[in-house]
Amino acid sequence: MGVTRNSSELLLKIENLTRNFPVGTPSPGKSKNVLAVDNLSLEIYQGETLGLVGESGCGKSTLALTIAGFLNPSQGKIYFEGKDLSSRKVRKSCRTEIQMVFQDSYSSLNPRKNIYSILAEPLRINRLATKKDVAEKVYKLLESVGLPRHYTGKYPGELSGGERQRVNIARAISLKPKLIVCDEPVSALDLSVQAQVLNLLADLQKEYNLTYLFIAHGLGNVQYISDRIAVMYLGGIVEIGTSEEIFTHALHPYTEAFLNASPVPDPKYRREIHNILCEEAADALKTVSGCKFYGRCQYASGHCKENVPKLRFVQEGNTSHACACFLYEKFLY
Amino acid sequence: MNEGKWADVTKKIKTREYRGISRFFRRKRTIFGLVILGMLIFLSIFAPCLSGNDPYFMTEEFGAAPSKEHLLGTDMIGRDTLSRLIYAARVSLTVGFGTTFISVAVGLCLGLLAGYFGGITDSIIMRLVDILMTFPPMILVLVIAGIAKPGLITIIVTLGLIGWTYLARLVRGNVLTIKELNFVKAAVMAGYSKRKILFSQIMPNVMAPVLVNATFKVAGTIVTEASLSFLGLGVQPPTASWGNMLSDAKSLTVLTSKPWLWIPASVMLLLTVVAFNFVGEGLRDALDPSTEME
Repeated sequence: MGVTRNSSELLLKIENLTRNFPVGTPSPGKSKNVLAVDNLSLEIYQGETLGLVGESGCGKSTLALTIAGFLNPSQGKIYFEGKDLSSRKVRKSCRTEIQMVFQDSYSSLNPRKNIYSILAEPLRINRLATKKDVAEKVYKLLESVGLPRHYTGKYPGELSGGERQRVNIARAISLKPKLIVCDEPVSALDLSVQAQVLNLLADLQKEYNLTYLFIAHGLGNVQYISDRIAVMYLGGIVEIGTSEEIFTHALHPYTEAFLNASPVPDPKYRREIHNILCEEAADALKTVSGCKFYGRCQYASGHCKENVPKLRFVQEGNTSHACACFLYEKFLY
Repeated sequence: MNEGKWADVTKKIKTREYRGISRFFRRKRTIFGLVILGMLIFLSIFAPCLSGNDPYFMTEEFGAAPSKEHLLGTDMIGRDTLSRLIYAARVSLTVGFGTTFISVAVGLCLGLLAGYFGGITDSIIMRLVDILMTFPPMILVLVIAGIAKPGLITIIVTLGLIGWTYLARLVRGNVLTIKELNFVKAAVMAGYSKRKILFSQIMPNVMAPVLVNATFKVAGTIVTEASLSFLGLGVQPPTASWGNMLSDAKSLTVLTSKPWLWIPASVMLLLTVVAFNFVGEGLRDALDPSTEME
């Protein structure tokens, strides 16, 4: 599924992004910080789906909210189509070009508004529809997410979770965005509905030439929809590669453990279980000098304790697969 | 098309609204409250037709017992008690609704602003609330009533301007929760203006508790007005108010030997307050399913 890329197709570039949150009572000299996102760099290319996986609390949602502009970066920059998003003016001018689909479909829709006004108002505000054709456009949007016309009169509370998520998707695409950040959009749905919504997202991507940042905590969905996958651990990316590379030859011990932890439906294909994480994730409050995965890694050596591994490409000439681990340091380029 | 639209409308009423409405009417007390309120409003509107006698006209019988001519007797200066009772309902309802309207308007606006903008706006508004709340309301009203010319308008404005504090807190708290919800984030991403987010996205979601609270507030205000009038600082005679009618009962002779002068006014006051509270409870059950009735 090799995504050809050159810099002209670069849509979003995240450079050394750090976001911390103060914890406890702020007293001078004693303030502690949680590094939710720690010196993270990432590139998203036009038209691709980048899957972002990691366990709970690793900073996936913080990253999503920072990209969407609801949190300001503590350090680092985000560039959208080459423009620096830290400037308020730029952020405002491309506000509608980055949209988000949230995990909780219910709180994403105003319970006091019916579906028609939820979909029609953004169109009117952004002058994407005139008074005459707004109804037509709303029906079209509903149709493109597979909902019948008469749903316009319904309120969010009357819809099922899957239907609500479809309305959320319809609203997200209505403003013709370039990037949609999907923060676990299917995690709260049951399995058959998950598949429908994923197919819908894939179809819409083709139709509207969308780019997705698809965040999930499980691997199944991500494998299905993503071109590339980034694995996140405690605020940083430990491995990134094409979907195939991650699933067939994952290198980082954490990715390996992550893959092993997700259940395989058919026992015949069950992976040989040899690397299961037993320890809890390291305390995000503690600052560790070396590799963040040190405490849980079965391959860790003294070297890992002192030094921080950098994200480096695995093979020379292959610019997709990168890994941050000293185990592979000698092959890394 | 038209037919489909109507089918939609009826279906909507059957599902969403109907559930709320049926919850509202489920309790007998709520219906009782509504009936009493309906009667009170009817009385106030048609007061001149319903009361046979002029409430200000002084007959020659002072403190007469109930008779055919004066169904509830006359007061100590010879005015018909029944007509005064009916005209007083007007005063009480005006004070109740007027005050609550001012309180809700001020409390809702300031609460929305404090909750949504936070920071310095929030601090200023909430400190103002704290300051107003430290004064015992009765004392504050007494002082203002003492300074300003006592009367209906003074009462309404005074009570309205000191009664908004609890509402502002209630609204602010709700806004703080709602503004973090994803639909507000979605509205920001869709380019809604701040004004639009605050008034068309957030405000409709805080109206339910405000409405419930306002209903209880009407009852509270009517009692406060009655107390003030009883003390002589509220509605001024000759205008009738249940409070100043009760002040006649300050004398022991009236209390013991002329019960027609004070029982009707007390009963009216009691019924009104109870009715508003019952309706408020019904509204709370209908609008907020989390407080399920037993």
